Order: sequence, then structure tokens, then C-alpha cells
Amino acid sequence: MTSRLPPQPGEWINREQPLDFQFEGVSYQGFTGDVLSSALWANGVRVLGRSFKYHRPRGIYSLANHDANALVSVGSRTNLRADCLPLEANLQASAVNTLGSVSRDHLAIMDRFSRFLPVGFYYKAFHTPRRLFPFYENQMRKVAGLGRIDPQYREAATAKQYDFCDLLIVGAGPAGLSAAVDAGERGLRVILVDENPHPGGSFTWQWRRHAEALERCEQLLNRVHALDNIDLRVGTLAAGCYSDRWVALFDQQRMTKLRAAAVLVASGCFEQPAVFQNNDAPGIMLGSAAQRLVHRYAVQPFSQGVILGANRDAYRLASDLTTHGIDVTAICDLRPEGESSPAGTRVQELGIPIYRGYTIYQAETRRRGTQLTGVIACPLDRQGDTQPQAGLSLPCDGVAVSVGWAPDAGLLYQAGARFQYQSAVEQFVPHTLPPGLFAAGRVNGIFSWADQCIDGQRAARAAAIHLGHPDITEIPTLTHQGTPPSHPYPIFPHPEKHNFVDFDEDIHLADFKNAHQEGYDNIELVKRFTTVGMGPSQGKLSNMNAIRILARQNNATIDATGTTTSRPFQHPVPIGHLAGRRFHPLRRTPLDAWHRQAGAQMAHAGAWLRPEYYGAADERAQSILAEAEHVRQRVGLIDVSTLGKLQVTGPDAAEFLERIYTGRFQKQSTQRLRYGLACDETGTVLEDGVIARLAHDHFYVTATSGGSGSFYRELLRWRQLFQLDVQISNLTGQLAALNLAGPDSRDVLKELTCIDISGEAFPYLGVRVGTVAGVPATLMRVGFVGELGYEIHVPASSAVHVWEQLCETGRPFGLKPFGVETQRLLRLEKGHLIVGHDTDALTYPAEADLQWAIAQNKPFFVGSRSLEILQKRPLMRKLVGFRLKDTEDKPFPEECHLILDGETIVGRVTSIARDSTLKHPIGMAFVEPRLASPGSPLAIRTAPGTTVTGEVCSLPFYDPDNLRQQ
Amino acid sequence: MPLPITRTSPFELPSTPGASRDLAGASLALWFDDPERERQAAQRLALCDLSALPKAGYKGNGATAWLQTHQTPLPAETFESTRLTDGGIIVKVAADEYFLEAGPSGVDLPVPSNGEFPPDCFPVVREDASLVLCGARAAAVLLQVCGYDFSTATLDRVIYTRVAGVDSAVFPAAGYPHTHVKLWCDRSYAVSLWNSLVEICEEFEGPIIGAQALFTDLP
Repeated sequence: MTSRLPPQPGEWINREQPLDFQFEGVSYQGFTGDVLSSALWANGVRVLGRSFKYHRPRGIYSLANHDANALVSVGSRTNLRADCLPLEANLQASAVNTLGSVSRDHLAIMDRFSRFLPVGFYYKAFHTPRRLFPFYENQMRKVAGLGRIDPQYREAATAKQYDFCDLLIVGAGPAGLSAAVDAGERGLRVILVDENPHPGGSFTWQWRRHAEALERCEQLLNRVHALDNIDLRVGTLAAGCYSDRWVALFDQQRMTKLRAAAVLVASGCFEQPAVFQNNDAPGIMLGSAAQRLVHRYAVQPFSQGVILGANRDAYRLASDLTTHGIDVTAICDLRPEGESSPAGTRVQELGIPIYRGYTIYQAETRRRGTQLTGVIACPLDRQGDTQPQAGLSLPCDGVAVSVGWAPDAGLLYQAGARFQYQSAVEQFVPHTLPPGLFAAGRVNGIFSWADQCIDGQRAARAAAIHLGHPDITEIPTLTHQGTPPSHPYPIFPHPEKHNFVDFDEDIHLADFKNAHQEGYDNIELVKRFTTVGMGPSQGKLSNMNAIRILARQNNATIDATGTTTSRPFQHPVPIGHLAGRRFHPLRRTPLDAWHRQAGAQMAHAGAWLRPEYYGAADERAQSILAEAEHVRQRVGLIDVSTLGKLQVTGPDAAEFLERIYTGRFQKQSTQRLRYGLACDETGTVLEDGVIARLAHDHFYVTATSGGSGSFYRELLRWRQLFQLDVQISNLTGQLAALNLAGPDSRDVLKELTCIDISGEAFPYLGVRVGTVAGVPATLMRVGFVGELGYEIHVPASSAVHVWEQLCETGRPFGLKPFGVETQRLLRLEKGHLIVGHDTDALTYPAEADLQWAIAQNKPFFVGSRSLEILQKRPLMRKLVGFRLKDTEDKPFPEECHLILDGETIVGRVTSIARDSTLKHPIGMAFVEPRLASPGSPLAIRTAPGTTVTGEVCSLPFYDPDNLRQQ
Repeated sequence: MPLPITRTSPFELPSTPGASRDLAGASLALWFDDPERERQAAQRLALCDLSALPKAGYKGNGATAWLQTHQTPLPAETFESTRLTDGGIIVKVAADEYFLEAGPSGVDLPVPSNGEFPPDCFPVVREDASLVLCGARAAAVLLQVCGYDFSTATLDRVIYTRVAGVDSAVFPAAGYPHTHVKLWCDRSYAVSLWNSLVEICEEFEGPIIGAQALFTDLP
């Protein structure tokens, strides 16, 4: 390992556990605790990845998950970030987005064409001619994209988890640790998360040489570990914040949906790049990355380096690197005044040349850009413009950039925080925070570790006060002292371009100029046109510079320029974690197991699973027709437990139902059923069913399978509004319902019930309460399928018993179960519509020929005012029955197929059946009223475009005199 | 001719119980494999089907007065509960509505002596699926299926929430020998809920147990 330093205090690697691994097929060795990037850098590997568009060589830049320079594939997993990919024994990784290898990527030729590929080029070049677009698309798909997805890869479902706390603290650096200790000592349930594998934040890289800081860090960590009410979770990323402080946490195993009473964000800042030519060359990295390499992984970032600085951090960095034996050739300080603090003095004492008011103009490389050989530095004039003619060459194999910071503020933005640009720190800082949200530390514009600790305590106390803890002494808000830690414009043009603002998308500074000239002068538009910030690192290192560039182009302030919108997730997360365990519950009737055992073909019907029919999967049509004919000729039994079942009780029950339904119920006799039709306020058909009166103050109501849940909630709403003395109970899942139908149904049932079910004693539309097979039951004489029939409602737990008793008793009569598809056919023959199937969200009663169900002269029912208005308007469509004539050798129409008059749409099919007991195809359709008369021809356009001819018929198709169901 | 009544559980149990008892026409599994092992499992993590316990609902302005005539100690506030003598539960689910679940000993729930309910008191059929999640790791299971913070929940007070996507009444209960929560849900969703919980419990090595591990005084 060519670049590994001697052991460093607090290093994250375990030198006693060496690990062998491979990158691009070459074997290397690292240590437990390394990430792939650090291990490769330690082995002298400088090209870790290739850029997205121009395939430029890239190395370590932030070493903090803030850039996407080094994306790798490991087995079937791809787009993994080498900067935070823990090294494992025998790891085999390869770079993504290369042709050949990462060191000799054949697609690097794209870089030579970069001058011909400005932003927006694609939109213009590949738009026309339209016929060539598939070719363009195909070629672009081949070269675009990053890692290749393995379509065969299946990851085990990772269970999501909920969690709760009083205070969530994001970031376990100086501010976060201090906040956690302060809150923990007050007894708050604290969850402290940090995306790194070890806590400490900037203590672990920036302040490693400061004994006082290290001592404080140790004290805080000891206290955090000692307090049971602090849950420290390292390797955990807070990736999104939603309403009411719902925060999505991701770790290796899962996503945790955390609901916190208060959230304190101490997430720090992203160190920002400077923009100069070839600023992406391997060996050029952020100052913080260099320090992370040294202190966390004991890796030398380079042997001879130049520091481009604009703040005190650059000088601390110079001292730090020098201490570790790295030759710092020079500091180029963008500020003409330089650094006057002790940190500056220390650098002078070390004899490091300082070029005040200088920038790096360009970086020099060799071996196709893979090896940094030096930089050309040049002075800046009073306006901050480069003076390249006065440039000087500085040999180096590395550059550390330390010119400023941008807050890691994604969570705060998502939680509703407002930010303001402060020139004192040259960064955005929180201006207003919604209740329960707090910010501390560097994200809050506080830069010294001691002040960050105080700021953490301040925020923790504010959170405790918010959570109702009394008698807490507040700590005044701190402000940054000294020169700004960020430079207002570390961006320098170059005639040869390759001065990248966005490394993910290979966007040059000139691209912004082009965008502005095209008229994109708003930050959101610039983002979309240039794609700045739209790469995998989501603008962490590019958004702030993009804002600065646009502000200058618009001659506007940073505040006026604004920021783009931060949306979850602020870091990429494994999509498998989002999928989690599947919780999409299905409703099953109590007879579900029986149906399966009996060979039913089960089908989804809304939330329910229902038997479609009983029989082989490839004998659907025959099975349904056979079941229908059996019901017409003998007796059948169907599970209709999915029906909505509501109990309406109380002194005002009848009055309530009269207001809900279009019919009358005040004078309804007990033991009698009535059809009920309900509309919404617009007069649209909402629900239908039967209403059984069991006592003067007790009604039993059925509703459609699909609509009963929402109808029940609607009834509860009206109950509140009407203020009537009525109780409504939803018994849909509590009761099972079985429909025994067919000419022999009475003979079967009478064997099992004590109720007199003779035609005289229990007529059509009657309801009786008694027992069936010894089980308490409510029996209703209904005729949905058009035959003599009994709907038997029993407690759900007894459904299997009653069903089996009916089957057993019905065996001599040939009783057979039938499914919901058969029921749909039978009701179609009988001309019964299904609300929500034959009606839609705009159907009002007159269109569906349901005027008969509306009681005249009722003072009020829901939707009555709307219906009065609608009735004055001409009818636009009407539901009719039809039969088909010439279907042989033609595609058979399906539901929703259109009915045409020439090329004009005049209707659509709502229900249709090819095979029926009537021996010809039938259906129902909405048509224009002029076509609603029996005998009117209908032209139905099928899916392939063939026209099938039908003819309007009177409804019902079957038993028009209602003799069968009496 | 009177026929035997058989009530069935909505859940698919893993095997035929080693012992069970008849409870109002339903079979209540007492244990499946080994009673002692199930008792130990109940302390760690286990799932138990109690759907066989008879249930009833009463609703209306007269419900409180009528239940009081049965010497039943009624909860004062909505969502609070009281205990029946055999370990059964009464929950006040609304201002004028009560939900009752009998204990495992077979004591009958209140019914009118003449079969007639007084005016303004209406019986409501309750066939809810009923199960118990018990043991020290029950909380970990709940964290995977429910967004409610049960660490702050009041014992013996019902919470209406969603568990594994199913609307449920959750009842963190005191009185049994082990930490446990009782869950009631609409019977039509029972299989979905049960399957989700079984899957998660299996990952935590929590078996399905019989009622004897929960009700130690059961014969």
C-alpha cells in the first residue's frame, strides 16, 4: 500500500484485520474499516470512476457521499458509492459507465466532442426528423446511464419499521452530540443518527489535532453512551422529512419511519468546489476529503499538494497536511487580504508560500487526464477576474480545495424551514423554522467546534421547551465571528472550458452562459435546462455555485435568485428498502377456504376475493353457462357475503333513511323489504340495495360490495349533519350472506328452518328473522338473479356450518354452488343494473331508468334539489338492453366498447355476455335517447376496429312478467 | 331437529391442537405442541387466536342503563375498558356503544331474560377476529406493522389504528401473566392480518400458541 500513513489516533481502520479485494479485476489489500475509495487510494489507484457524459477520469473528491465520482458495481448491486462502501473480504468491484476499463475507457473519446455537445443540444438535435428518433433513442440508451441493472436480481424483502422519540437529532458532530447530551439529561427520549459508521462528525477529521476538541468529543460520547434514553444510530441516514416530523431513516437493513415530537438538524455543511479548468482531475479534492483520508483512514491524499483556499479552514488544512509529511507547495488564497488569524501565522511559520488574491486557473494533467502534474495559478484583479498572463506554474500531484461551504439543509427545507443568505458567512442559514424543528451547528452558520457545541445545547433547550419542559434557561443565539468561511464567487472562466460546475452531469461554466442566453433566468428553469443538480449527488456540490452564477448573470442577489426545491430523498436510497414488506390486505369471505377446496376460480372484486365460478381455468365460459342454467332449472347457492350490510336503529331511523334514499320508509311495514336508491348531492346515483324493516326503529340495509365502505362513512357524515337520534352499524364483515336461488330453493330451505317459508307466509320482498341450520339468521326474499330465492344472513363464524348444511340438504335437489360471474350473467338476463358497473360517476336516475324508485312529493332527500334541476334538462343518454345479431366470425365486443353512429360516438357498452341461457348474446349500454327505442340498431366498435351490429331490446330479457321470483 | 352449531375461526391454524375446549359452539385451542414450551414462548413472543371467545355489541341511548342492570362494571370514558368476572372485557367504543368479549371460561354475556331488549338498546352482531400478540418482543413486531407509539399507550384502553394495513382495535392489556396486546379486526381482513403477523413472528421465532399459555387458570 503505497499511500498508507503510519497509525493515526482515532483512525477508523483496523490494521490487525487486512482484507483482500479486487477492483476492475486487480487484487489489492485494505483493512477492515476502510471504504473502497480509501483502500484504493491507499493502493495508489487514482482513477476510481468515469464521468457520466464525457467519461472523464475521476478520483476521490469529497469522500463523504456528497459526489458521485466513484460509482461501482458489486455483483448484482450497482451504482454503489465507493466513498461509503465498506470494504469486505474478497469484495469484487468494478466501475460503472465504462467501455473497456476505468483506466482505459474507450468512451473517453466523448470528451473530445464536448464542445459540440452543449446543454440543450439533445433537445434540439434529436427532435427532428421524427422518424429517426427511435434510432437516436436507441443509441443514447446505449451510451447513457450508469450501472447496469441485473433484471434477474431479487433482493429479500426488507421490513420497514416504525419508531418514535421525543427528539430526533440528525448528525452526531459537535452540535449534535452536545444537543443529545443536553436533551438526554433532561429525560427526553432522544434518537441520534449519523450516516457515518462512527459518531463525532468534524471532530473526527477537522479537529483531530486539537486536544481540547478531542477531549470534549470523548466526554460527549461517554455521556451519550451512558444515558439510556439516548439511542445512537450510526450508519443511519435521515433521507427525507415529511409532515408532522415524519422522518425516513435508512440503514443497511431497512427504512425506519420515525415520528419525532421534535427534530433537531445538526447535519453540517457540504464543502464546496471551486470552478477552474480541469477542476475534476483525479488528485484534486476538497480539503475536508484530504483530512478525512488522513485522519479516518490513514491515507496520504497526495505527496505534494497545492491548497486553493478562501477561508481559515484552508490554513488549518495546510498545517495539518504538513504535520503528516505532505509537502504543501503553496496556498493560493482567493482573498487579497489573506488570513490574519493564528492559523495564518502558523502557515507562515511553516514556510509555506502563500499567494494572496490568486486562484488556480487550470490544472495540468498527463496520461489522458488521469495524472495530475501541476497547476497554473494566476492573480485576480480587483473585480475578481483572472489574469492568466501573470500565471505561474506550481508542480503538484494533488490539490485541496477549501473555498467554502453550503448547508446540508435538505431535511430543513423539506420540513418547511425558510432560509436567508447571510453575507457574514456567505451561505444560506435558517431564517424561520416551523414549530418543532430546530437547527444547530454548521448548518446554522456556526463554524468553530466550541460554538457548535454551545449552539447544539441552545437548540436542544429550545426543543425541550417546545416539548413542554419547564424551567429551562435558554441560551442566546450565536453568530459567526470573523471573516466569512465561504467565498462569494469561487468560479473562474476559461476559454478551453472543462471548468466544471456539476461533476455528475459534466456541466461547464459556459453551459450556464448558454442557458442564460436562451432565456433561462430562473433557478428552477436553469436546473431543468442544464440538468445541474439532477445527477446522483443531487446538487450537493453544484447547486450553490449554480445559484452564484445565475445571480451574477441576472445581476441579482443570492436571496433574490433563490434555491431549487429540496425533495425527499436527499440521498439515493435502496429501492428495495422502499418496497419493504407488502401490506395490501385482501378481504375474504368466511367461506374463502371452502370455495378454494371446491375448485373455485378466485377473482379480485374490489378489495374482495370472490369465486368467479367453479371449474377448470380453461372452461370458463362453459362453466359459467352451466351454472346459470342450473340456477334457472334447479337450485344454486352463491356466497354474497361481500354485500354491504348496515344496521340502522333508533327512534329516527326511518326519518334518516328517508333523507338518504330517494324512496319512502316511514310507512314501510315490518317484515318487508323495499328497494333503496341513494344519490349524492349532485343527484348522481351513489348506492342501491334493499332496506328491510325488522322493527319500527330497526332497519337492516344492504349495499353494493364495492361501495359499502364509503357509503357507510357517508351515512355517518349525514348523521352528524342531520343530528337525528339514529345509530348506524357496519355489519359487512360481521355477517355472512348466502343466496339460495332457483325453482327448488324453497324445498331445500324448508328442511333447515323453523320459519314458514311458504309463498303465502313469506312472500316476495319479505324479510324474516329466525334460524337456519340452528343458527340465528335473517332471511330476505329477493330476486337479483331472477329466480325464486332467499338471501340468508348469518353470523360470519357460522357461515361454513350453514353453507355446508345447505349443500348437504340440497344434494337430492342437485344444489350446486355458483360464482359471481354467473350471478352477473343471471342478473343481466333479468335486466338488473349494478351501480358502479352499469352506472358511472355522472349517472343520474333518469338515465338508468330508475325514476320509479324516486318517491314523489318528498320534502327532501340527498340530491333532490339537483335532480329537480336535472329533470328540467333534456336527457343526454339512456341505459338500454341490446342483443347482438351478427357476432359470428367477428371479435366479440367488451364492456366499455363504443357505440358509433357513423364516426360519432353515441354510447358505450356497460355489460355484455356472449353466452346466456337465452341462447344469444345480450348486453346493456348507454345510448343517446334517440336510439333508446326497442328495435333501434346499434353499431358497436370492437377493439380491432370491427363493427358489430346490435339491436335495442326491452328490459328485462328474462321473465318480463316476474313470474319466476314470486 | 336441532342441529349442532359450529363456529369457526377465520384464521388458518398451523396444526390440529393438542387440546381444545368447546366455547359456545367454537373450538378454542388450548395448546398445540407442548404446553410448557408454549408458556415459555408466551414470555418471549407468540401469537394466539382467541376468535372463539363470544362477543357482543350493544348500542343506543339505553345501552348503558341496560348493561348496568346486569351488575356489569362499565367503563366511564370512551375507549376505556373494564373486566368481566371471567377475564372478559367490556370496551366503551362510543358514547352510546359497548363491545363485550367473554373470557375463556364460557360465562355467558349479558342477554335479556325475556329475549327483548329495552327501547333504545340495540344488539349489534360482533364477529370480530380476535388475537393476542404476547411476549417481550411483541413491541418489536408492532413496530413493523403499526405507526402508533405503543410505548406511550395506556393499558386497558383501546386504540383504533391500522395494523399491517388492516383497520384494527388494539388493546394493550394488563392482567395476563405476560406483556401482550389484543387485536380485534373485521373478520374479512383476518386472514391478511394473521398471515402478516405469522410471517413476522416467525422471523422473530415466535410460534402460534394455544390459549392455556395466556390463561393459566384454564382447566
